[in-house]
Amino acid sequence: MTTTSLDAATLDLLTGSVRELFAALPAGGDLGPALDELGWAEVAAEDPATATTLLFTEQGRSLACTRALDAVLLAELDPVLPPARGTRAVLLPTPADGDEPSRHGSTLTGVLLAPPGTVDEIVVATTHLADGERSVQLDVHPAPVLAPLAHPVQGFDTAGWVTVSGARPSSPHERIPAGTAWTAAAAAAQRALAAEILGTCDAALRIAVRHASDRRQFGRPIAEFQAVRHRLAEGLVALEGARGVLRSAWEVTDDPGGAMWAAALAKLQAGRAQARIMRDVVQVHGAMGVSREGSVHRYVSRAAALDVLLGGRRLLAESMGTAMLLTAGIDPVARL
Amino acid sequence: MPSEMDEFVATAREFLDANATRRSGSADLPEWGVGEDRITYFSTDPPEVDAAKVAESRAWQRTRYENGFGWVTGPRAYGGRELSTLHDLVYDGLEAEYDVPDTGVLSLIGLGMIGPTILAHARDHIKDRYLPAMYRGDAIACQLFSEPSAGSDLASVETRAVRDGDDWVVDGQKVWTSVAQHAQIGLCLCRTNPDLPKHKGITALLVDMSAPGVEVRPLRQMSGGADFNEVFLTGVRVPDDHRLGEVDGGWRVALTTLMNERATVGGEGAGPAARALSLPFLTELLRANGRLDDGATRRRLAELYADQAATEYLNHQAIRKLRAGTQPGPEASVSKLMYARNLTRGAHFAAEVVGPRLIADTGEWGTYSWTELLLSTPALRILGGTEEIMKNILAERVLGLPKEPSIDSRSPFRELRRSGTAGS
Ligand SMILES: Cc1cc2nc3c(=O)[nH]c(=O)nc-3n(C[C@H](O)[C@H](O)[C@H](O)COP(=O)(O)OP(=O)(O)OC[C@H]3O[C@@H](n4cnc5c(N)ncnc54)[C@H](O)[C@@H]3O)c2cc1C
Repeated sequence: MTTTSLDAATLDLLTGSVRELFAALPAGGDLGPALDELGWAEVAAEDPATATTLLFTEQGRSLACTRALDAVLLAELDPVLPPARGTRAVLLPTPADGDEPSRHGSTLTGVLLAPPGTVDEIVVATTHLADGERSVQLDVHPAPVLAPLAHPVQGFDTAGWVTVSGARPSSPHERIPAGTAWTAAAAAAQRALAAEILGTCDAALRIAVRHASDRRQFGRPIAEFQAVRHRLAEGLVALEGARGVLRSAWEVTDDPGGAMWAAALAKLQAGRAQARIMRDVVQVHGAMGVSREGSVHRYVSRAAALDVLLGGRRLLAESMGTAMLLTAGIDPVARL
Repeated sequence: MPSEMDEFVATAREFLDANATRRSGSADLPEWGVGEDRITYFSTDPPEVDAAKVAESRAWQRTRYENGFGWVTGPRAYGGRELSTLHDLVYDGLEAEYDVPDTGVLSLIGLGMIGPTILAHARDHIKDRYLPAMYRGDAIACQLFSEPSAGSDLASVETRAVRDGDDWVVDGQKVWTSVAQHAQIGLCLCRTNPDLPKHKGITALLVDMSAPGVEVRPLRQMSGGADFNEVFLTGVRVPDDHRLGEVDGGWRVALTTLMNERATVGGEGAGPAARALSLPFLTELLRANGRLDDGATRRRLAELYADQAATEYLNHQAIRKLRAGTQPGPEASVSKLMYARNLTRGAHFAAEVVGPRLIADTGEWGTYSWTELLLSTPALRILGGTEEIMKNILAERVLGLPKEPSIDSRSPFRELRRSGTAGS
């Protein structure tokens, strides 16, 4: 997957189409049919790295809320699951758990991208610890079973996510060992999320660049003040750095261990980039940046919310740091 | 024989014991896991709740005032006690031990910035009329300075005031005006002579917020609250005796307000946020999250504490100067910068300790509540002069560095407008 098989002209065309697609998507709309019309499956098969990154970057840019992330996870999980009866979603780990599914026990927690009523089945992963070995097992619940545990997420962002917490429903069938499928799914989702975060950053940075060029104080565009332009330039550095790490993460997807590290690293860098970029985008906007008058606040809160899914930057930095110190031979950077 | 200060402390204690409840924790430590789980800097309450809280603030200020603690350093003529700034600070310290309404809505802008400006620049009968009312909690004052195209470049305000008999007629728009929705009066910077350089053609008027032609529309902050506003002024008549300072001499008046602003942002009224970032509270936060033994966390806690201590000291110095009637110099920008930075760092420190629970409300005490603070801190790097402007002031006025090139402050305002170099 090292080579990009799509040429630049095709890529531009695709980017344009996907951007239009998101622009036309109604709130809570389903991406599927529109993507089918574009022949997305073929594009994704030919060049998954470019396709996924493009799709999620545009999703981030447009601030759309879709279930595209479910599709990414299911692409890895479906092969080990019984055939789907209708549409499926995946219960994501609750932000405090990073990318580790909720531990086996009497309670179940997690996050859904959309209310349970919008799908037929929900895949629930559970972490089991036995003799110091960690393994993940999978259940497939009919969606209505989780409905009573679901509450809209309150707080930072109104992406339409739903938190799930309460007494764990009994398994409808023998638990299915996930093998390496969960790790692969989480890594794929982290790469997708990194792209989405960077899409929101790119859009916000562009808005800030435009604002700095248009806004005049002291008789000239504020972009002429070095303090302002340096902030924007630093934003670009953070963005490009994170994009590079994300691209490199796509080059090691065939090696499960390497893929996991590289994806986590990409997500970490995207999370750090958004913190830096959003802070500067707000500052460059002055009071407009901290009000709900302009659009800036939407990018700020969306990027912060995406950051905490499947491993927030702080959690990832801590867990990677711990692993680097404790586990001999782990060097995610060198493996890229 | 008890000293005069001992007596002051004794009467203050007596007053507080009779009118307020002592906090259960030590001095200003809210108890961990107990009580309202909110850490706000700006109000995020719905309007009804907000209005009720403002009423409580007014009532408490009135109680203070009637008992001689409403304006400890103020002139007797306006209901003050003419005591030293030390008395004032001592009183603040004592009051922090009691559970009393937060009076930020009155004190941050009105009593902290506009009051001193009125005292320094208004005519005597205007002082008589407004100062006691303000310090008694009856009149809340707002600062009608910023405009859509005059933010950092405040001296390019465009709101016009035209003389008509004994009145001025004011037309224009102000923006980001905090507490305007609660205010009875507003200090408004108006362009009175566009033929003079921009700093020279401004006049400061005290506007009655209930006058015909004043319209206040709320704006919402990112953190959720609607505590700043747009204020539209259409043919608003302001009697000339409500002018502060000279005609076309409003910039001097504005500087008094701005100096007080820079020195008081963070000096008082930070209320729950300041308590949440106090050492005891942060220690509890670390304990509750099992982080007491983490070396890196400890180091950051100590650094945070050291920075806060430094800022607090500078703030106290500035407040002392101010309340003693001395204008703080450009160095006030140091504490404004440091204060915003500390609050930001403090919020991020808490964010790190609490982790992702901060973003999604899980209902666990002491976690999501930090979000409001985290969302408020960016505003502190903007209000009262942005971080960049503070640094420019320090660079030019304290370090003596040359101004950035091509900022024209000599040409008549009208010409700058016309030549498209708007705002200069
Ligand atoms: C919560 C809040 C409450 C407020 N309350 C009030 C109030 O009660 N009354 C009132 O009058 N105003 C109030 N303000 C407005 C505040 O004073 C202005 O927001 C502030 O002065 C900045 O102006 P601006 O927002 O127009 O930003 P701009 O001036 O447009 O600045 C945008 C960016 O450009 C930068 N910049 C501008 N000039 C320079 C320069 N020369 N060099 C380097 N960088 C520069 C700024 O630092 C900033 O990053 C409030 C603001 C906030 C956020």
